[in-house]
Amino acid sequence: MTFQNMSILTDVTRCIGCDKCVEACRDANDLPPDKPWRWQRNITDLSTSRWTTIERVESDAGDRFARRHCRHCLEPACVEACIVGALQKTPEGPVIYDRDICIGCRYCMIACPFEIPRYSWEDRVPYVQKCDLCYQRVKDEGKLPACVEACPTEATIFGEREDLLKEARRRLATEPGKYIQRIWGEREVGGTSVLHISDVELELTDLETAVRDETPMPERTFKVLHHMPTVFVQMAVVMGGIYWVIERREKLAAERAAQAGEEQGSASPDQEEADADAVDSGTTNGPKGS
Amino acid sequence: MNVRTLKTILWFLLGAGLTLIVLRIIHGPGSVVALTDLMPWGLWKGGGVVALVPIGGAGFTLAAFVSVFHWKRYKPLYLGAVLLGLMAYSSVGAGLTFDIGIWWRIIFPIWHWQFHSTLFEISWCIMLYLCVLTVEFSHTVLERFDFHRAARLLDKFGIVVVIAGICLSTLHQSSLGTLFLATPFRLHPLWHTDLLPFLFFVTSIGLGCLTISWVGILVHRLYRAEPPMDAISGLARIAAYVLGFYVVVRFAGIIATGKSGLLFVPSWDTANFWLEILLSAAIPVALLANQRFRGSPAAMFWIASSGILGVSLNRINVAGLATVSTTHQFYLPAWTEWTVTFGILAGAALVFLFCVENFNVFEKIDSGRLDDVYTPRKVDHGDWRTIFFQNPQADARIYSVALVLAVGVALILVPREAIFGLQPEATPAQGPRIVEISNSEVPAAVGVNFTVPSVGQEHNGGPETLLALMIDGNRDGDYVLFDHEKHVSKQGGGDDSCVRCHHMQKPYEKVSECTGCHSDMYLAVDIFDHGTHVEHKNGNDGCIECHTDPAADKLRETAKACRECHETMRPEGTRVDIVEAQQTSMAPGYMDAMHGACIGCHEEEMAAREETNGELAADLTLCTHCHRDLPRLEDDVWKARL
Repeated sequence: MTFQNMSILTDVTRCIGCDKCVEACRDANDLPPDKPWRWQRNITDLSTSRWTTIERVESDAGDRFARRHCRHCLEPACVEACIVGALQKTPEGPVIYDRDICIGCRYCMIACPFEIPRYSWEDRVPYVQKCDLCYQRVKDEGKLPACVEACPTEATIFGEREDLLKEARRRLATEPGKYIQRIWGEREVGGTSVLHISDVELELTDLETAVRDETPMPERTFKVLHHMPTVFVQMAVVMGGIYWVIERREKLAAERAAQAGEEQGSASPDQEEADADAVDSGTTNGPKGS
Repeated sequence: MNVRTLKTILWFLLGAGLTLIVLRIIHGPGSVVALTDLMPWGLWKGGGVVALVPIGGAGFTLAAFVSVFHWKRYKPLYLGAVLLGLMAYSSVGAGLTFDIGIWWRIIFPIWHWQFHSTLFEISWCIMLYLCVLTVEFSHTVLERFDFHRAARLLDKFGIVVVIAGICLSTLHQSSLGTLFLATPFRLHPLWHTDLLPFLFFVTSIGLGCLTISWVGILVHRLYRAEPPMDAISGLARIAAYVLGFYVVVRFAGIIATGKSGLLFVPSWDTANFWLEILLSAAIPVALLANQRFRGSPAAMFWIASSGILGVSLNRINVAGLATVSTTHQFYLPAWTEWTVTFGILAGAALVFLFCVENFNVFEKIDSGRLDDVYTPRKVDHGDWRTIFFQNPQADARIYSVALVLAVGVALILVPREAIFGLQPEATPAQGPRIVEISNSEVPAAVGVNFTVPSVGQEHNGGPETLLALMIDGNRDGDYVLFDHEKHVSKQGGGDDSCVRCHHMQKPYEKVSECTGCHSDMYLAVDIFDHGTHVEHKNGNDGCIECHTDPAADKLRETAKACRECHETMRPEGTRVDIVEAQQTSMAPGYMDAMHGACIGCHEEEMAAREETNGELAADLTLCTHCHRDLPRLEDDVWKARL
């Protein structure tokens, strides 16, 4: 199947928190059972054994369930950050991971604004793990992502991003009193492929600060990084220039001193110091390399 | 301090560090670090890379001063700075190799290119700059071994290499700041600013001046030579200007972006910020303005210490410490992490001292000075201590002992997981507590509705109160209230009903409680006691009684099933489904056991109800049917009861 932008829309009002998606994901990706490792705050947190999880959102209107997994950003920070290009944004939309070249620097985990990538600290040869939107399964086998297929209430649906945005807007418009008029993932950090609509406020992160900013993450670093070749050349020119000027001055000073020495028998210290005013310390005995 | 004492300590640290590095290679980084998914960069990255690179900034700073600007006043410290840079960057390389998850892939960036990655740029700059530093230092080494022609050849390209080094340093010193532009949601706003690359670059120059002064004073003192105070006081003046400029730009940035309010919010982060400013800029700038301090080795040593601590704190803050308020991960590096870091630094320091002693790094530390420091005292053959400590091989002996001792000490002290690999944490499961609650029975559509009566209302003995089991295996306050009486009656009442759920019994028990076997909340537990069985069956003679096939490997799977002897262990009529073939006497975790016991039954019951009640049936299979929104244990209603 061909896709422009594989996406998932989760309607928090429909989720009953049954964990069927979590189990389906575990089966589809051969993930191990959850275990209480040292680094986990809760056993139900996102982890290497849970690429998706259901988080309970407490609100005045009662508890809700929000499913969290990789958001498959349109402009992903992790892909930009990855030192060797182990994380890639596919043309069909999902952000996928190549474990054969990952070196384990964990910059993706630092850069991800939603705190999604997890690390298999328990392994001797650890890897980064996260949802890949069942990329191979959808593309090659023509199936739905495992989580979507397993959802008993159609709380989470799969499709093209444009279609899902339309569907989300339709739901928001049909029941304006029920929903908060906002599509999570529509514009944050340049937009994400995983969208949420809800009747309570969502955080969808482990951090204190929920992501509201719309600046795409790659812009933040590349706006500086792309100047680097220029900076390199500029610095080289400036340093080379300074070196050349000072070197020439010293050479001329030495020649003049030698000339004066020939004429007067000895060089005048006053003259020498005036010539070498760019030089911090007094004596200049001809050119000297590093 | 004595050179010998210092070197002994360094060899000890190196030995401990190497031991931990070997263990880290065997069991992966997870076994020796205290990092978490939300705090994936710790001491090895924040301290060993982000903070150590600017310390190596001395190399390019002095190279610019001496080779490009021809400020010959700093020449006495130039080679020392290059060597310091070389050692700092080598430590960065070593530290990074063992920090990354798959250490042998440290060279992957050489051929897997990703031009958009800041880390990619930094890794290339550091690799190339290490080559530059090696070339810059090799001149002295070549001279020392009388390769004068090669040394002169290097001189020809000297300035090109030096300028390349300065450019590379400009790039990666600033790019270390660029790295953290990507973390606006993690990093505290007092640190996260678009100026980060510029601030990192500026401070690396100031810090470069201070570190080489610090090392210069320390090393000269160590070898009882006079430090080159003329050069040091000059560097101190430059450092004061640079750090003064830095602090002005930093505050200007904070004020211009409207964050000045944050400067005075009473919080941990604000205190941290002011401490950092105090150490990195306020103290050095204020004190270095005084010429008397600049000229005094002791004063310079302490002022430089403050600056180095302060700027390092800045790097550590940006790399992790100032993200604690958003990540809530109170990461403290494990002692094993410290040991590796100190081990690598100790190794670098030993190489540094070796070079100082054997190459012409500092003019005043020459062979005459070394003879003075190392003079072997006279050996008194009546005293074993002088035989051991004073003879010509004594140094090598002492260092070897320190190294071996360190390996032993490290192996004794390392945590279990560093030797045996990581294990999930045990969570002992505890049995349910009996609580009195009120029960308002409403039609089947809603099910049984538990409420917790207010404290004054209890013990009224009315028909609406009942005793229930509060199931909360890990005592985390997330409990399920279980109406035991009702479930007994559902199973037909009477003694036969027990075994429907209590599916296995320990020897001599009629009904064993769940936590007897399912004793861990999440992990499967081995409930078979091999030792007791061996004892009962008269030692080795008895093997054949369970391991019935002498030809087969003696495994759980090939042994006789427990039930063949323990006939009463598994009562008839139990609902809990145990596949005999897979019975390996491993009891699943408490949570899995509970879910397994309840959900299957609820699903059956649900199917039956749907047939009779149709749409009206309350969904027994929903999580929320049992895991209800009930008062938390901290609430007053429970406080008085439990």
